Amino acid sequence: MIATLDPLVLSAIADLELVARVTVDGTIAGLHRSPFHGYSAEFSQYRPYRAGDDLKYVDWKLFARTDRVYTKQFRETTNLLALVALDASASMGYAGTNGIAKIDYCRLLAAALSHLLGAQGDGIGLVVFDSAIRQFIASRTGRSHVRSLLVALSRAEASGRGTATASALKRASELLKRRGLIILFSDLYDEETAMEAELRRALRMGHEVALFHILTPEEVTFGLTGDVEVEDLESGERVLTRGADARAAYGERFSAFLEGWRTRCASYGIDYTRVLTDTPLDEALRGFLLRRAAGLLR
Amino acid sequence: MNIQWINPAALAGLIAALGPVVVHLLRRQRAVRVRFPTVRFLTPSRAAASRVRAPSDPLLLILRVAIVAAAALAAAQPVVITGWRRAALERTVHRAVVVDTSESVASGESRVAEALNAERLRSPGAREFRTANPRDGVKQAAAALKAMGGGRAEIVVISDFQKGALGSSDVTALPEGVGLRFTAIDSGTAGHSFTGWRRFAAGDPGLEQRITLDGPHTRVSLMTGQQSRMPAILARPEDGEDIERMLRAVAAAGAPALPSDRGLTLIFPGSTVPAVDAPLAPWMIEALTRARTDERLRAAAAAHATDEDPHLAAVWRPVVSTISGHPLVAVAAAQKDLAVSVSAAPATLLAASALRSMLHAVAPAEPWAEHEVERIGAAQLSAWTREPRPQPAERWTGMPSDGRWFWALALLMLAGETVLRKTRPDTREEHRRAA
Repeated sequence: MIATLDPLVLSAIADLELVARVTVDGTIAGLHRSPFHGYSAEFSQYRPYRAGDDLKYVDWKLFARTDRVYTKQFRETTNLLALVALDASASMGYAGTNGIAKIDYCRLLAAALSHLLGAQGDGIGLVVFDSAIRQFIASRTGRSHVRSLLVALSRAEASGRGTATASALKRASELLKRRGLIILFSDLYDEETAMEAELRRALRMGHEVALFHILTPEEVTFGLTGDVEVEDLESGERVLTRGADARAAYGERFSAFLEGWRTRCASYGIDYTRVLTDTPLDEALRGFLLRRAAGLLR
Repeated sequence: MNIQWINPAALAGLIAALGPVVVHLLRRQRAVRVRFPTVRFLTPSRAAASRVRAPSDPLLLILRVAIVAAAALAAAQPVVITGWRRAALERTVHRAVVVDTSESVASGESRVAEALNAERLRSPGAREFRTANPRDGVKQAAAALKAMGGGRAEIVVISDFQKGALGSSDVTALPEGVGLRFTAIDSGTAGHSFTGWRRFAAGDPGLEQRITLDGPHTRVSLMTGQQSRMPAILARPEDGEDIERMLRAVAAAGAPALPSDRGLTLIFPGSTVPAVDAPLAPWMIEALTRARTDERLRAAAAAHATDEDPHLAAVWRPVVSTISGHPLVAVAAAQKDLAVSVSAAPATLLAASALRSMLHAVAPAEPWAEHEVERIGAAQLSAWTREPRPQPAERWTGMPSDGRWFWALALLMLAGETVLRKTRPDTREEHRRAA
């Protein structure tokens, strides 16, 4: 087992399947049960009722005894359908000082999750989008399917002018044939209201949504100094500013941006994971899987 | 405090101090373009464009200007003359001692040594100039003292001060402020007689000039001298009469007799050449040098029509040669004598000129001035004596430059600039971008 899965090291490995296996093997050691719960009849555990839960899973007998409302969860016996939505807009091509682009990091994370889900017999699909949907692979099971998905992932490149996250989410929600899990990898530099609306729509359709907010450390700290002409990777817009002076205002706005997404996701029950590209892959993945295994999510 | 510049032209380098300012202005005129995922959180800063001419880091800029300025000042080699340095220099006396080594002083050698030792004790670092001509010695000493830089300078002359050894013009030619002191040596040459000259005579006893010095009186008498030593002549037997005529011609033209300790052998074509060697004795080398500069011999050689190679051995040193490089007159050492090979018949002008020239070369003229009995008077020497005065600051040349302190300052500031630059976030960012 690799002690720490350095994203830079892993991104240098061409075989995405191998990377996925290594990452998963190193991450789920100790997780004895599947972190992904389906909706089968095999009872798994109770969890407090949350608005939106299907009333048919509420244990009314338990409510009668304890006066508390619990929803029953079931261990997966049927296959989970998952869909990875990968933002491949130009902004995702930005690499920080550690040299790993956000899209490369996403590829590794998505490959690991795909491998994990595929190994469990769950269906997994892929949507790659920038200003439009560039690639779609329907959620299916099977090793050969996972392999072809990994190939598609490895070919995903950051490009395009603009991001159409909302339309990609809408399409992903519609393409999942039944209730499933949408895993979105994005830097969320898009129209927030539209994205929020589509996320809520997906939830209303009964899908679970896990959001990986991928950022480089430089975007968080805005380390640029001196007189700089900052060019937007997507729109090409240029802003002449002075690094040291702009940093405070940037930090303030960026924090508000991050906080906005955190509270938004918390209120809608979206599993929000903010990951910086210098975070070891296993650490990023383990946090997510542990939260799922602990049943914090549906 | 006064500052002098050894290399003032380097002060033009101060213009280079504007370099950092120019570089700063040029660099600041364009902002670095950086591609970034989004600009939605950034506000355009007009200040960034308008600030291009305002130094972002005045301290760094000042430091850089100061480094270049310090380097330019160091290259100009400043000499900072502070009050204490001036006082210390003015206390210093650079001394040069001129010792007369002419023949007239030779008899008073112990007294010269005594006077010289006294001077050495007085000023241990004094430079010494030993010369037979005190006039030249004083000039050399003055030049050497000029190169010694600041402080006071004094020339001490140890001599018997024969008349003509020094003159008022020599004293006035000395730079102002240079002290002059005289130590007179009694050489005791007054009251003796010596041979002025002895004339070469062909076969007969030659004339001899006898000079007697007796206080203020000098007596010169001509008398018949001893039979002068004749040069040995190797020639064909049939050239006997021509040889006689040549000797008489040389005697009639006037030439010095051979000294008793120096021999001369003339070798003419057709005679048997004795075993010879290279002329290495000092008097032989001196004679060769003198003969080579004899214009009359050169003229005779130029007029000589023959251009035959005498096929002389390598030990022969040519005195005069033909245009083709064949030696017409050459010398070598034949045991204790100076052998002279003449590639011309005894009846020619060249043969007579060669003999006359070699006689003059072997028996040089008497150094008459060394027998001068009159001395420069004590009153005159006293009048010429002068105390050393501090040199004007403009003449303080040859002093060690203080440029090293400016170099050290420049290096120190450079180190400070490096530290300052590396600690600047801007620089770190630039390095990161370059990487």
